[in-house]
Amino acid sequence: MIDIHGLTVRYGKKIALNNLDLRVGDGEHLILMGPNGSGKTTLLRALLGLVRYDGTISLNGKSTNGIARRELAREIAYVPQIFSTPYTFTVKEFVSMGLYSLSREWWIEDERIHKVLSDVGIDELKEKTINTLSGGELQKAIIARALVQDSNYILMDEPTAHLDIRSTQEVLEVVSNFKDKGTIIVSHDLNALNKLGGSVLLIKNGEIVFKGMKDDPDFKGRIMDTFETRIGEIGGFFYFPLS
Amino acid sequence: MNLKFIALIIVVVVIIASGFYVYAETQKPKSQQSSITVVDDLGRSVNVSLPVKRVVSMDPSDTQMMYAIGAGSLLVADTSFDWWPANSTLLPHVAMDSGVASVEQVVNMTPDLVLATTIQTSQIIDQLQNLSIPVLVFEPQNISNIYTDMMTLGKVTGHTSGATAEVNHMKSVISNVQTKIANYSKESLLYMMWPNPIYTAGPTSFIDNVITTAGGANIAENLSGPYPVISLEQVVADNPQTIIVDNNTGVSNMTYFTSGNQSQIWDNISAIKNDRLLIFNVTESNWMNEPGPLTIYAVQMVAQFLYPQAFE
Amino acid sequence: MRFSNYLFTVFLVLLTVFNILVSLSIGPVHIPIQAILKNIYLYAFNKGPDWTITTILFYIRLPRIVLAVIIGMILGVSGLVIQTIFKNPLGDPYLTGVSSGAAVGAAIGFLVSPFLVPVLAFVFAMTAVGISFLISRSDGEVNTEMLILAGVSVSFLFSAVASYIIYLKVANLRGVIFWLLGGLYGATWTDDFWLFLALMVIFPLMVYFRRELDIMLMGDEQAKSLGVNTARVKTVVLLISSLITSLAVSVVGIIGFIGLVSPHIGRKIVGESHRFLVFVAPLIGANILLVSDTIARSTPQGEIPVGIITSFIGAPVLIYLLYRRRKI
Repeated sequence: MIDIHGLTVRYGKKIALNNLDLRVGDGEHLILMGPNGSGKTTLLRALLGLVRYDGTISLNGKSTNGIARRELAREIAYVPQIFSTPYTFTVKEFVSMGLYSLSREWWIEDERIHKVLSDVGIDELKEKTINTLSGGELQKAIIARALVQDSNYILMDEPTAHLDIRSTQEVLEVVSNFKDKGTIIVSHDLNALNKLGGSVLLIKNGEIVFKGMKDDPDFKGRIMDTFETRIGEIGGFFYFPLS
Repeated sequence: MNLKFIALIIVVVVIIASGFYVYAETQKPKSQQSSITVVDDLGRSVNVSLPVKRVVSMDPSDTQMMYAIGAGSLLVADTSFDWWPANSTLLPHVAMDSGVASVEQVVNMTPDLVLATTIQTSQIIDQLQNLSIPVLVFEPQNISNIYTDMMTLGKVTGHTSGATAEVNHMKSVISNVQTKIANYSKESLLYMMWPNPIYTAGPTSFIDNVITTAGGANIAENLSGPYPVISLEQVVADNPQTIIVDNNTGVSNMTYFTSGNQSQIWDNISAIKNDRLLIFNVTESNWMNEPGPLTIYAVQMVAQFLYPQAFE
Repeated sequence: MRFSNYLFTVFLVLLTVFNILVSLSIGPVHIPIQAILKNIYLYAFNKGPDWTITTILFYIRLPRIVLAVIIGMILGVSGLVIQTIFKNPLGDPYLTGVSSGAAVGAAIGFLVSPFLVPVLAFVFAMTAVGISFLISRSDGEVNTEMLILAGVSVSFLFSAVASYIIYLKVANLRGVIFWLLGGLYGATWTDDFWLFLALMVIFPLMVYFRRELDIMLMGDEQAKSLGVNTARVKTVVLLISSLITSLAVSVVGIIGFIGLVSPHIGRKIVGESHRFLVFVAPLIGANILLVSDTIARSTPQGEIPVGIITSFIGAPVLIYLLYRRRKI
C-alpha cells in the first residue's frame, strides 16, 4: 500500500503539488487525469524519488525518503513517456535493464525476459535494436522492461501517446492484463479511460478534485469541470462530442 | 538636429585628418642624400641612407657585432637580454622578456638603421620598412657567415677597417685552435639542448658548425633540421665519448645521469663512464648560442673540452 | 552477435601482443630479429648479452612499449566513460579541465625546474578538475550539463595562464611544446610500474560499473527509476577517471585524440553496450597509441610528438567507419 500524506512539490516559486493526500492499495488500478501542468507527472516523479518534496510517502508503512534506489525499484516500476533513442541496444539488452534492481548480471534471468516479451507480444523482436523499433514496438519494450522488474506497483506516463490506433489497442490490452499490480496510469486518452478498469483520479492545479469510479454520478460533471470542456458519454463510454 | 550635428562632426574630422595628411607628407624626407644597398641574411636588398648615426639592435648578436667592429657608439637602444659588453646593458631597451620588439619604442628612438634576427616577425620588419626605417636581418648559419655579416655592418656604418680587423682576429684565433688539435682523432659528441626528450643540434645548425670547427664529431649528423630530437636508442647505439649540456636544462651535474630513472642506460655510455661531461654556465651558453665576436670563445671552450692535452 | 563480440575482444588482445612484438623490432636503431632473439636468449640465461642491444631493447624500447599500452588503455577507458556520463560523443578524458590544468603546472615546472614538471602538472590538473566539480555541484549531485560548461570555462582560464607563462617566461620553448603535444620518450620501468597501478584502479572499476553505465545511457530519470544510484556512479566514475587521466598526463603530456576516437571505433564494431566496450575501447586505445608511438620514435629525421601521429591514424579510421556505416 502506498500512503501519500501532505505531499507538496515546488519548482522554484511555482507549486506543482499542494498538500496532496492519496492512498493506493495493493493491486489497485488508478487512471490519473488532469489538464496539462496540473501535476500528474510530478506526482509520478515524487513517487519515484526523482524530485524533492515535503510531506511523506510511505510504502507498506515505511517512508520512502532516503530508501536505496534499488530497493525502491523492486517496489515501484516506471514506464516513462515514449522517447527516441540513438542507442543500438537490442530489445533483449534493453529489457534486461529492468533486472538491474534484482541483479547486476546480464542474462541471468533469460527465462523471465522471454516471458515478459511474450506477455507484451514482441518476443520475435528480441534481437532487433531499439533505435529501429516503431513507436508501438518501443512502447511495448518499455512496458516489458518495467514488468521484468517484478514490482508490486507500476507507474505509467501516457503509455498510448503518439501511438496509432492498432498499437493503442494492443498496449491497452497489455495494460488491462495487469491483474495484481498496483497501477497508476497518467493518460489523456479517452480510449484508455474506456478500456481500463479501476478508479479515476482527477487533479487540477496540484490538488485532487475527484477520486472515484467512472460510473460515479458525479464523475462526468467533474471531468468536464476539470478540463473546462464538454465530454459525451453513452453507456459508460466516453467520447468527444461533435459540436 | 541630430543629423546636422553628426554631419558637422564628420566634416571637422575630415578637415583635421586631411590637415594631418598634408603635414605628414611635407615632413617626409624629399631628397636622398647618399645611400647604399646591402643584402642581409634573408636575401633582402635593403637600401640604407648614409651616414648612419642612430642604430637600434633587437638582438644580442647584433649588439656584440656592432661593438666588436668599433661601431658600438652608434647604438641608441638594444634589448633587455643584452649582456656584453657591459655598457650595452645601459642603453634603453626596445625588446623585453618575450624577445619581440615594440614597434612604437623602436620608432621613438628615430633610428637610421634597425638590426634584427628572425625572432622578430616579418610583420614587425615590414611595419618598420613602411615607415622608411631600414631593417637588416642577421641570422648567421655558420662562422664564415658571421664574417660576411660583420663586413656588411662595417660597410653600412662606415667601419670597414674595424670590421676587417675583427674578422682577421677571429680567423687567426680559430686557425690557431685548429692547428693545435689537428693531430688528434675526432671525439664523438652529444650536444644536449634539452634532456628529455633530447633536443640536439642538427647538421644545419650554427652550434653544429661550432662543434665541427672545434674538432668534434656530432652524433646528430644524420638527423635533419637545425634542432631535432635524438632518440635515446640512437645515443646508446652511437655511444658518444663526450657530452655537452646547455645551461637552462635543469641538469646541473653528473647525478642527473648516474642516479636518475634512466641511470641503467647512462651508466654505460662512454662519456658518463669516463666523466667526459661539460655543463655550460650562463656565459658559456651565451657564447655558444649568440653567433658573433664571442663565438671564438665557444670554439676554444669546446676544443679544450674535447682535447685537453692539446692545450697543456 | 554476442559470439562475434567475444571473438573481436580476443582478436584485439592478440593484436596487442602482435603489435608489441613488432614494435620491439622497430626503432631508430635497426636491430635484426635474429639479433633480438639471440640477445633475449643470452640475457635470459645470463650468458653475457650485448650491452648496446640489451639496453636498447629492455631499458628503452620495452618500457616505452609497455607505457604506450598502459596509457592507451587509460585514455581509451576514460574517454569511454566520459562520453557515456556526459552522453556527448565529443567527450574526451580532458573534458573536466585536466589538460589545461596540467599545462599550467608544466609551464610553471619548466620555469622552476624541469624535474618538477610531473608533480606540478598533476597538482594543477587536479586543481582545475576540482574547480570544475565545485562549480557544477547541485542538489548533492554532479550536474553533467554544468560540468561540461564549467570544464570548458576552467580550461580556457587555465590555458590563458599557461600561454602567458610560456610566452613570457619560459626559456626552453621546445621542451614545453614537446610536452604539450605529448610523448612517451621518457618511459622507464618506474613510470610503467606506477601507471600500471593506476590502470589497475580505473580499469576494474569501470568493468565493475559497466552495467550501470549501460543503463545511464537511457538518461538519469530512467536510470534512477531502474534502481541505479546515478549520483554515486557519476561522482566515482568522473573523479577516478579525472584522477587517473591527470596521472597519465603528468607522465606523458597531453596526448590527444586517443580518448575521443577509441570508444567510437569500438562502438561501431561491438555496439553500444559497455559489456564489451569497456574491454574493447581501451584495447583499441592501446593499439592506436602503440602503433603511433612506434612511428613517432622511428622516423629517420628524429622523434616527432606522438599526438601528431595519433590524429593522423585515428581520424581516417573513424571517418572510414562512419562512412561505411552510412552506406549500410
